[in-house]
Amino acid sequence: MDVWANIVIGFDTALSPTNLIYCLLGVSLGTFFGMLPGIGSLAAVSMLLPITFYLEPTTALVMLAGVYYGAEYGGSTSSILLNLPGTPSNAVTCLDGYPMSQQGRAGVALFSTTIASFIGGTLGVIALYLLAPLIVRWALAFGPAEYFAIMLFGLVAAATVTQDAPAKGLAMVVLGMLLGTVGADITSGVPRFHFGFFELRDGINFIALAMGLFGVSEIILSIAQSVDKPFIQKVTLRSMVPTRDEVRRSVMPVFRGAGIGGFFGALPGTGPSIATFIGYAIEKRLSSTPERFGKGAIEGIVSPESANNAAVQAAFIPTMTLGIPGSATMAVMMGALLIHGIQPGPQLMNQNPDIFWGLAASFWIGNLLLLILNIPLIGLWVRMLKIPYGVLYPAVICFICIGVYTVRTSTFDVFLVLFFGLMGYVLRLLRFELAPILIGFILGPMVEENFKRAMLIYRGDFGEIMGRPISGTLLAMTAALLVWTFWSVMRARRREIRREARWADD
Amino acid sequence: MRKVDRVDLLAGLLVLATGVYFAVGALEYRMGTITRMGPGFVPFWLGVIAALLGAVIAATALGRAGRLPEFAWRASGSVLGAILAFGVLLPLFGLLTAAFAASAISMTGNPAAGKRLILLTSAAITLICWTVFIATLGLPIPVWEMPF
Repeated sequence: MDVWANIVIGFDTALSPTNLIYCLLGVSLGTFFGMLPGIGSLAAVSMLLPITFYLEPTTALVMLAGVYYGAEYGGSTSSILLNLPGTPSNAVTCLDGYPMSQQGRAGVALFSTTIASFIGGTLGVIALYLLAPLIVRWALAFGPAEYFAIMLFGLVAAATVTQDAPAKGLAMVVLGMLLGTVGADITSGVPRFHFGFFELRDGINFIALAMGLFGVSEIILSIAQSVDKPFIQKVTLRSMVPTRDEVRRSVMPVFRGAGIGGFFGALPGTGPSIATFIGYAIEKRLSSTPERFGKGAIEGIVSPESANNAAVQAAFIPTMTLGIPGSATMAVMMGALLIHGIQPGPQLMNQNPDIFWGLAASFWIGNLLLLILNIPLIGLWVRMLKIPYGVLYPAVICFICIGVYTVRTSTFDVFLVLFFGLMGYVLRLLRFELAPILIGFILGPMVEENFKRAMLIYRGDFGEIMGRPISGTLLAMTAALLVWTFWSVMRARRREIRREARWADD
Repeated sequence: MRKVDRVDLLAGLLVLATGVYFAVGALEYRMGTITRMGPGFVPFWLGVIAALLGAVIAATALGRAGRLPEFAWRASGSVLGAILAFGVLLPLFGLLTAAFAASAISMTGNPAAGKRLILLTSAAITLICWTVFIATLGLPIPVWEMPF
């Protein structure tokens, strides 16, 4: 059978000693950076990208992917112990994880989230193995019209799904796309918006953009808030054993979470964060005792964490089969693929089966390594959480500067980090979400190229794009998403105004 | 006085201005036709969309109250200053000086850090940077330069 052949190819590549070592290195570094509040998977991957420049492409990606999902494992540790999410998609885990820790059940919480993450991750990898070949077979028939429609859907979904203010989310996507127009136009070669800088003729360095927007602005916010770390309790192996009742209550939420995560992860534009929120909400609704949620219910941590890791693995499906990154971190991963000369897309699986399936196999091996790292060695990680932030962030700033400098050996890019850091901080103060900027930045030029090609093929008739079955359906879904989002915002706003009016009357 | 959410008002105006800037800038490039779009076509319309979204954001700010959050001058100044120092010092003096300066400057953003802690931490970080990036990875970065 095909699947078995792919598994054999994959494990053959992933089990080579070099790849194994870098996988271990990746997941360890990922766990470490993920655990530090303020450095999400996105900043961790972009910061460590320069380290992989001199590696083989497959090895480099095995390591970077390890950093990504390792960070999601590590992020739950600080959610539980510190009440500070290590990465944005671990935020939901704080709700019940920290109360569990206050009740002295931190060990159980850490153990069960690790197991849930492992199961979610494993099911995500299985989904990747089963779905990717189907999508590739399908995608080979895609033309520019279909690509344009998928990307447009991804952009709108990224901007609207998790936002309370969809207009602001859309504005950030468009801002990202505008930043993406900087540099040479693909069809004519005309350099656009280079502001007189020679360095901008190749476009904005996306690592500088990502590091500035996410890394630097996050550091500024963290120092300004100067969060006091709460007391961290000791975690022993014995305290990690859950009771039989806790195991029984966790089984179904873990599998439901994995299903939710797999679905939202594979959908372009939505990602792990939204999957965790939905996983939590569903468990709360299905529970016969919803009042326990928020006070240390084990279902409230295992479902989001399972969803999170399933989504992280499933997010590789659109990136590797279509070349369309579904989330900001996947956008950075795709940038890494391109830097290493690998063009993700339907051809990747057929032309480089060793890379494609090797990566997929390494994901599962990495999840297995994380299971080992996070259960017997948990004490080590807990001790690392005690490093004060005040001595950590100067090191992170130096790493960011050195990393960005090495990408193109240019100090211009270091100054770009400065610019985007300030921009990111101001935008955050103005309550903008930053992830859509990066998605818009990466997808923008691809949307433009495919739109131009589609309009050339159909002689400027947009109706042709809407008339094709796949692109037409996707455009209709995009329109429905927009209408539904704005309708629900308007409804919420009207209700708010009415309530305020009632108060004014009293 | 009418109620205004200053955060969203400022946010909207900022997006509006950015959109207008790009739309006007795009006029410098050839527009082309819908069938054969020139380099100016997509940026122009993206700029227009951004301007419209900015107007919508600013409009929703009217009728509800909201105060601007405080800008953290010390934290942002120290972090951004550190990056500036790194970018300026690296080509002149090399990695060791640049990393030490960046670390020390960034630590001034933490009011609790004393001189001793700053110097010791920065020295340690410089050593770590050298060990990781130069000794282990061998990245092509100037280590020690003297411009004079």
